Amino acid sequence: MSELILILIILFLPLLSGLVGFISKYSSIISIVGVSFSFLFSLVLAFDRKVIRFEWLWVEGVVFSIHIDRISSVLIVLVNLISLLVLIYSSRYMEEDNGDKRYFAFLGFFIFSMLGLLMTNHLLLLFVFWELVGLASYLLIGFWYQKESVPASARTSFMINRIADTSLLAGIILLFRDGFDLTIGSEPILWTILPSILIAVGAFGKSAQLPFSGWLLKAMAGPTPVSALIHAATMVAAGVYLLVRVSPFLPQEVLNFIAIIGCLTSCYAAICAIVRHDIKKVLAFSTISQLGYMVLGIGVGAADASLFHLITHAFFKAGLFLGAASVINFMCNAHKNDSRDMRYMGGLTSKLPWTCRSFILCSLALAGLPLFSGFLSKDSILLGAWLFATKTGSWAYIISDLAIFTTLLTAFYVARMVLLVFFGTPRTNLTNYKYRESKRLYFPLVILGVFSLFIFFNLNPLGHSSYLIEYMGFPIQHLEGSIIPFLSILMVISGFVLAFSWFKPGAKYTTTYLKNSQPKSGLGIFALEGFQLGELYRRVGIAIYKLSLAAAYLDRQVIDPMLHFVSIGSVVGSKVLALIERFMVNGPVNLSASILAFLGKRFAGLSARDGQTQIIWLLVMVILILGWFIFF
Amino acid sequence: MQYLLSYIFLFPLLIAFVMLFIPSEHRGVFRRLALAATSVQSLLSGVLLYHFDKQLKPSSWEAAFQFVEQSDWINLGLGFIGDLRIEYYLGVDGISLPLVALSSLVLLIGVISSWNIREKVKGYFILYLILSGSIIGCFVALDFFLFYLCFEFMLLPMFFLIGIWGGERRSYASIKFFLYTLFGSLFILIVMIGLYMSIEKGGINSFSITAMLDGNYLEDSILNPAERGKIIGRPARALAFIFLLIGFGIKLPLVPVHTWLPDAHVEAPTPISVVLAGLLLKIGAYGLFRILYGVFPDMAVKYATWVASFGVLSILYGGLNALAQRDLKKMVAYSSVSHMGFVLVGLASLTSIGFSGALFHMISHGIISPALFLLAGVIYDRTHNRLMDDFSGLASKMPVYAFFTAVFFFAGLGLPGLSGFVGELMVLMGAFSTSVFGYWLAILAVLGIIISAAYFLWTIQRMFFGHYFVRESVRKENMFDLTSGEKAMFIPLALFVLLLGIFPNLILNYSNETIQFFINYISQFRP
Repeated sequence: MSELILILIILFLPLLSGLVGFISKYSSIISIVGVSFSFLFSLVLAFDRKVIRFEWLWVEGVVFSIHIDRISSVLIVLVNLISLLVLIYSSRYMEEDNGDKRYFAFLGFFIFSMLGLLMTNHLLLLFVFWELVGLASYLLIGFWYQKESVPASARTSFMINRIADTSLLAGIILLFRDGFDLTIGSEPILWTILPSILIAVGAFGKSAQLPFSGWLLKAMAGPTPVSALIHAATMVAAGVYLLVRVSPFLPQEVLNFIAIIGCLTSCYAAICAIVRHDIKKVLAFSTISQLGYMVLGIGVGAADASLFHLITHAFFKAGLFLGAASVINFMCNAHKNDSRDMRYMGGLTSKLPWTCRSFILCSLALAGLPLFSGFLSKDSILLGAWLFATKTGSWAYIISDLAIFTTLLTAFYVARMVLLVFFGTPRTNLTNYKYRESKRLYFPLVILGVFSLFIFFNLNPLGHSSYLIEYMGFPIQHLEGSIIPFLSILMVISGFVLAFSWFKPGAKYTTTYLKNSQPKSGLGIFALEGFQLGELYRRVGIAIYKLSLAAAYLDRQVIDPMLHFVSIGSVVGSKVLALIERFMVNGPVNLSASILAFLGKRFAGLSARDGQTQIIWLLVMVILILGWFIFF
Repeated sequence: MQYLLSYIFLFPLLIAFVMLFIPSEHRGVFRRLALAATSVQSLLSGVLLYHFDKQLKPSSWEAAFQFVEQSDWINLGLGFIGDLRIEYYLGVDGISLPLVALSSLVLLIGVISSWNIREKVKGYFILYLILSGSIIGCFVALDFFLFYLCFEFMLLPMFFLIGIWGGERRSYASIKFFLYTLFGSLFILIVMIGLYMSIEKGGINSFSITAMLDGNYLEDSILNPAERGKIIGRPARALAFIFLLIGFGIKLPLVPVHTWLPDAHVEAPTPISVVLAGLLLKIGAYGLFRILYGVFPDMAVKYATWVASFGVLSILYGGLNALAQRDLKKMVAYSSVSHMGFVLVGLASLTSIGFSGALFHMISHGIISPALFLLAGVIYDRTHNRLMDDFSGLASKMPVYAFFTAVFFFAGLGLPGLSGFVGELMVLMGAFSTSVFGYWLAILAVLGIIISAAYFLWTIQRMFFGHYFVRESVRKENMFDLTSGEKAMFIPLALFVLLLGIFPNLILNYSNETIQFFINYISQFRP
């Protein structure tokens, strides 16, 4: 019972502190305090090492359950920790915004839903929280709802998520129909194909895999700390989390499908990240790409590696986004025009020293350089892909090779971003704006930067797993002597070298490149447009809207007029009947009456004349009658 | 306790009668009396909920009803035709009880939102109370004749309430509504006479609904399933099923006989839209539940695919139409068409989870759609305009209004945690797992969820997001946020939406046993 209370406290404290903050003056402090307590309690939970289960009947036939094992408890700590850091950062970042109360209330709601998602193993309850995190994301993307294009971005990202979520819901219901237990984690029985695919597609939606990846770019319209928490570290990883949970139940064909989509997404997004100028968009594509790695890991049967990458990625990507937030904030004040465009940046090292240091640490982790956390986790995924290829052969080798090649692309765009933002001299005239890196801003950054080092996850800098993964109960594989780590190091280094040779401060290419901002080659333009995915969404949306206009036309111009036709028809019919009544039924009656009246009038004159005429008429009649008798 | 249902049913009518004797100069008295009447009604419904035995496992339909009141009402000798025997027969089971409770809640909210009615106050509230009495009557009547009487009697006050207190095209809308529903009622009347000829109770023909449900058919009667009676070469029971589907389908409303609804909803004054969407549509659905599916289960099995197809058509067609609307109230009206389609799909699935889902969806929609009409009424009261394109950025001008709009819009689009989700989910679970129609229909129904998200979100984007802006032609001197009276209506509705979304068993506990019995009863007709 005490455990249930502990769980409920962890779950509801962020929500309550958000709500209380909304009606009080000190919203940020209340939120921070609430989430810190939630964090401390979740540490207690994680060290408890027990599996906790509670069940209750929701509706007849559906028993919801809370189930916390080691995987969930570690992830709960992770979510709480990153939320706490982002809240601390936001408390300074949002200070001048007059909607800050709403901001912290929404964030509290998000943390609540995300924790709830991690606490259940019932698919329907998971879906409930799955939608709630989607709502929180929608509210926070649309946080600056008065700005141009923000509302449309919020709606688009929610709708794309909704489509994928519907697929997930359909998958869950089909599982129910086929008689499977909706509680994950009992004995592994393979699910049937159709629900498995639908559930995988649902996960693709949340984790921004092809073809849903575009919503994450739209999501960048929100405040940047929100992007750090929701659209990099936690919510987008929910799809990966779901896949990790259900992967023992998925048939091999579906796993193959997942591996292919993951690999394609990771490569596609890395290409797009290379040509983008907007720092947030580069980071968004990089998130999509890294999520692609995680999905790939699940497909190739290395779910533990995916989970590991999820954790390391949460740290360094949150760090990168918070760093980008500082950069954008600085640019916003120093250079009014376009605060997110990397072409206007450069030489920010001296202006933002702490931001720069932690940003570089996180970048190296993202690139996957040895000694950093990203190397450990990405390497385990690559290793998993390679093992999978040796087992499956043929097309699986392409997947494995493509994944390794993508590390080169990753290193390239990471180096390009860092060089363009921090090194060289400022490329535009910056005002004399003096940016004060307050403690609340750089403390979270430094923490996240430090957590990008290998030492927190594995003492061996060239290893490919972590004690965390061991703690979660996955078997540790020992695969020493493989060529993969060296191959990936080679790729990273060549990526760096290429980037340095093109974007080295002062290099000729840099200046020309920055002047002619648009890429010239077809592939470049194509990549800049995100492979026309946005266009695809727009067309689908327009098609649906046209369909709805057609339905409205049908309703107003066909169905209703039919009704009007019937009613007008009955009125016309009644008018016709009235005419018939007037001329054909009533007419003859009146006609005979008027004939009689006419005759009557004519003959009435007879009696009115004088005596002589009457006698003459009498004689005429007598003659006529006599004639009748004589001749007939 | 014994006459509790009669009190709930007749009390508003009594107050309406009392109102007749109060001179119309005392304008303030009427609304207070109406408030008192509906409050007493709600209290009595609370007592009813409290004393209802949820665990009762019925052995027959006759035994399934509680709080039964039964006495002779009309007995007429009709010469060679036989006798006309009508009873005053009331009772509630797990299906009608939640609807009675919902009705008293919505009627109470309706009175509160009528507070600002200025014209012809006396007539308005008398008609309103007559309406509320006949609505409750529909849900508690167990004699088909009494049911039909209440069903028809609703039209009269509704006709005047729309036709006198309505918007610009009120006369058109009220006539359309009246004729449409009257047309539907004729079909019901025909079947009612047919059933009276075929049903016996104690050896005599009877209108008793329980006797119909239990299948006490006379030998050699036209609707006796064993006789396979035919009318102009068609099976009589199939014809009766189709007639009832049309009759109640018009009320539901079912595409393509739904076109009265957008006009009536849009032209009706706000409180009447609230009652119309919240309760009148539910009476159509209740008729389907009780009479169509209760009395003709064999046909329900036979025509399941057709009924479900019409349900899916309503979901998709209503949703697409809602997406195309520019008038806020019309959008809400079409969303009702879409949502009632889910009820029909749940019924057609003939599974216990589908039936529970349909009932729950009725209750949930009975709370959400009144709230949506009240929201549309708020903006109309202030500006005499409801066109979405004429507003923008209302969230910054009227934040509380925006908050409640978001709550009910998200409830409407089926966000988990709010009540709209539960009904849709259970209906879909029923539709996917049933064996009476293929699951391709269920997949089509799922698409409705996406469309509903599209129109609600787009409306939020257009009206509430962006810079604050109101078209020149709009009166804008009155753009203030919700008053405390308006909050008093929205807060309880929002709480109910949240509560039912988290604990659906608050409703389903009442209905589980009845629905279980219902499904077992139907299952004997399945091939």
